[in-house]
Amino acid sequence: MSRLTTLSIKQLSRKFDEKSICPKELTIKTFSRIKEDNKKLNVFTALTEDHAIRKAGESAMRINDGKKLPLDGILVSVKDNFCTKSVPTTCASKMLKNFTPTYNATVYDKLEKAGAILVGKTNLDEFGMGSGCIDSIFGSSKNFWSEDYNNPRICGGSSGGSATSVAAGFCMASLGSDTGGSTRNPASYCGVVGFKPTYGLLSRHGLIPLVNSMDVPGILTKSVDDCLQIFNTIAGPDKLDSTTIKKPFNPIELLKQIDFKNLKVGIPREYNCEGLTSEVLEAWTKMADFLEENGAQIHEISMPYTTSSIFVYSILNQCEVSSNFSRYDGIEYGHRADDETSTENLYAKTRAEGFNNVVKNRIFAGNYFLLRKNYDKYFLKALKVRRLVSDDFSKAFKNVDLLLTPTTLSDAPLLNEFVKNHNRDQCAVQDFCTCPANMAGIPSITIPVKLSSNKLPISLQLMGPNFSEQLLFSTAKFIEDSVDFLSNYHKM
Amino acid sequence: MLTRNLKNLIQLRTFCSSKKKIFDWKEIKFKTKVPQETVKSQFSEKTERIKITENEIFLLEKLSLVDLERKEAVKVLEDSIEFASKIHNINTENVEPLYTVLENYQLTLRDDKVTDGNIKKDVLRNAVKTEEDTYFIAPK
Repeated sequence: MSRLTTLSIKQLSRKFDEKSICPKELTIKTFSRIKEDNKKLNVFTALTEDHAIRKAGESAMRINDGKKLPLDGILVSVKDNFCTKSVPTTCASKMLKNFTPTYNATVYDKLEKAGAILVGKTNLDEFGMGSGCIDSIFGSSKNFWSEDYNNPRICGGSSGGSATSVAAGFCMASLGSDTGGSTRNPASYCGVVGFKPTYGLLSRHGLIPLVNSMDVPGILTKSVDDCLQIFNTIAGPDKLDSTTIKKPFNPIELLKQIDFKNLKVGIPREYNCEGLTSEVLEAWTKMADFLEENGAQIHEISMPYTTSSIFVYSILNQCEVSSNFSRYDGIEYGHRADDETSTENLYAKTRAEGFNNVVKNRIFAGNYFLLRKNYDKYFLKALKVRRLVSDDFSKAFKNVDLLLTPTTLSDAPLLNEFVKNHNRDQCAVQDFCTCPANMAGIPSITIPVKLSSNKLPISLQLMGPNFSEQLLFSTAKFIEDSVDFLSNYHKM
Repeated sequence: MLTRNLKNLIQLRTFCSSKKKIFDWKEIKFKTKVPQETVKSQFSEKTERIKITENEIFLLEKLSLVDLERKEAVKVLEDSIEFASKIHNINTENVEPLYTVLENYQLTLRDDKVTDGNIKKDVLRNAVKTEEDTYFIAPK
C-alpha cells in the first residue's frame, strides 16, 4: 500500500512556496490513491473530490499571487459528526443519511478559512457510540496496520475513520471528537497523534452533540507539530458556543527546551488495570524511566476513583443521550418514516427505523436512570462520583505537572475478536485510560511510541491540568523525537 | 568565524547522529515507579441485579419511542443497570454533583435579539415534508 508523504505540514507548505509541489497535482494524485486504498480501509462516509480539486486550484492561485493562507493546499478530513456546509453529515446513522447542513461547524470553518482542503467525511460508530468504528451504516473501517485485511484489526473509535485517514496518508490532519476517548483511542491503535483539548478551548458549534458536558473536538495528525498547528488555527472563543472559554486564545509555541529538573511526572498506579498487556506496560515503564534519565522527577501516585470513571461515564452518557436524541423526530430534518396515522406513531416509527440498536438501548437505559424514582440513585449519584474523579486530578496536579499513562490497554484487537463483546463492555475496556480526562475536562495527548510484536502501534498518553497545552505538546514532542515512531511509516 | 562555523558543523553533526540513535526500549536505569502488578479497584465490585417490571417497560417504551425487540431490550437494560450499580459502592456523602467542568466560569449569554433572518429556506431545507416550502408538517 503506497502512502502520501511523511512531510510535516510546515515542510509541505514550504514545498508549495518553492513550487516543487503543486497543491492541485497533489490533491489529484491523493484522490487517485484514496480511491484505490480506500476499498480496503473503508475510511470515508463521503468523498469531496470536486470540491477539493477546485479548492486546490484556488490555493495554487493564491500561492502564485503571493497571497498564501497558512494552510493553503493542506488536505484534511473531518469526522462525519461535524456539520459541513453542502456536504452530507450523517453521523453514520440512517437517521441523518439525508441530512445536508446549511452551515459549517466552527472548527471546520476556521480550517477552511485558513486554506485547508476537505477530502472527505470520515467513518465513525453511529453518533459516536462505540470504540471500534464498527457500528456504522457504512460498515466497519479497517486498521491501516492490519497484518491481513481479510482478518483485519479494528481502528478503534469512534473517530476510527479520522485516525485511519491520517495513518494511510489520505490527508495531513483530521478533526475527530472525544467524549470518552473517541479521538485518543483510535489514534492509539492507528499510530497517529491524538489530542483532546481543555474543555472549552475548541468550539462545539456544529459538532452534533453526544454528551454535551464531555464532548470536545479532537485533532489527529502524524506529528505533534502538525497537531499544534491545527490546534492554533481552530482554538478560541466562539459566540456560537456559550461553553467556550471567553478569554482570547494566544497561539501556543513549543518550549525551546523542557526544564526537566523542575518537571514532575505522576504515574497513577490505578492505570495498571486488569487487561493491560505486558507490551504496553513495558512501554509505559520504559518511558517513565527515560523521562527520569532526562532529569524529570517521577512519582508514583494514587488516583483511587479512576476505576469508577467508566461506570459514571456509562450513566451520564446514556442520560444525556436519551435527552439529546429526542430532537430526532422526523419532522424538521433527518429520516422520516412513512406513517401519517398520528404524530406519536410517526415519531416512534421514524426513530425505530433511524437508529441502530446501540443508540436505542442507550436511550432506553438513559430514560430508566432519569425516571423520577431513579434520578438521585443513578444520575445525581453519578455526578457526585464524577466530582470525585475530577478531584483526583486536582489533587494530583498539586504535586505533579503531568501524568504519564497508557492510552489503550493493548495494540489494536482483531475485528472478529472485538465483536464478540457487547458494545457496552467494548467501551468499558477500551476507554479505561481515556475516559477520566473527559470527566474532569482536562487536556490530554496520545502519541505512538513503538510497534508491538504484532507490528501494530503502541501509544502512551500525557495528561495535564486545564490550559497546560504548551507543556503537554512540548513533552509529547520530546518523546516523539526520541522514539522516532514516524520512521515506521518509512519502512512500510 | 571559522571556529564558529566549525562549532556549528559539529553541533549539526551531533544533532544528526543523535537523530539516528535508535531508542533503547530494553534498558531500565532506575528503580521503576510504574506499578508492575495489576492494581485492583479499591471499591467493591458488588452489583445488584434489578428485575424490570412490565409497567416500567411500558413507561420506558412510551418515553423512548424507539420500538425495541422487548425481550432483548430488557436483558440489555438489566445488564446496563447492573453495570451502573457499581457506583453505589462509593461513598459520596457531602460530595456536590459536578454538572459541568466550567462551573467556575461565567458562560456567555447573548442579548435576546434576532441575530439572523431570511434563512427560511435553509431551515426548511432538510425536512422531508413541508407545506408550500413554508411550514414543517406533522401528521394530522
